[in-house]
Amino acid sequence: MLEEAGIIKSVLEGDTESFRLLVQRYQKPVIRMIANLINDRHICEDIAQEVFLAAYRKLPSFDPARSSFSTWLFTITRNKSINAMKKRKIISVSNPPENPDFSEPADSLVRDELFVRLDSALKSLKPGHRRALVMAEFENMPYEQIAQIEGVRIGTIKSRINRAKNRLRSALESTDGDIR
Amino acid sequence: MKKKEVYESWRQDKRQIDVSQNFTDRVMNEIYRLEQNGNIIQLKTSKLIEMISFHPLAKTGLVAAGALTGIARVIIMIQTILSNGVING
Repeated sequence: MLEEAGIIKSVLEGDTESFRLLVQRYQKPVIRMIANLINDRHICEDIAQEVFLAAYRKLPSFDPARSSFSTWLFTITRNKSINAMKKRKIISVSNPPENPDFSEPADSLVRDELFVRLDSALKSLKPGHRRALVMAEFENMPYEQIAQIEGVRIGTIKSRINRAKNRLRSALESTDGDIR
Repeated sequence: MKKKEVYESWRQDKRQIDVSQNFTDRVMNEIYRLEQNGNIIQLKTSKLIEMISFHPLAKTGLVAAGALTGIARVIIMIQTILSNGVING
């Protein structure tokens, strides 16, 4: 696997095709992050395309001494997602749970119901709390990286994630006795 | 079914994402398209600069245009001052 710094250097030296490697490497996490932030899987690839185009254009200004490439790219992703939500006033749509993996149909029904509850709880979070949770829980990013992307202190991120998790916990607790 | 299991299952579900097979090609095609447009603009600008630098007449024309703009601005300024009566009190 080619080193990222080498790929970036090639692109900056005029080898546009090398940028393909960066797109291939990051397309999935970028699209996933957008999908979980804006709740509309139909337009997330369009936004992701805007993210990669912006990254290509801004690549000469990328400073590896200030952040890693992934942090830089996810910062663009965060900003594009926020802009897209403002611009298009996206209406949240809950995606039905996929790949049921429960032996009992009743279990599956309960699970679907809980997923819907968790989805609504996620949607009802404050935008900053939601972004922090998405990056930590779905992208497995370390707190330090999230803090860098959000431009706040690590303590703020920890607190946002805690509050978001409490909200999700409450959503699960407000169910009937099927859940332990 | 435990809450923790449900949460973990939901988290895994959120991590599932299908990316269109042609996504990378779409991005790269757009980049090449933008680059081509950018090159055309760059080419036009560099052609213009080249033309001005190599043709004495174009160079003189540009300097004359600059001088005329300067003179026009000075005239407008003087006119404004006179019409406001600043000099005449």
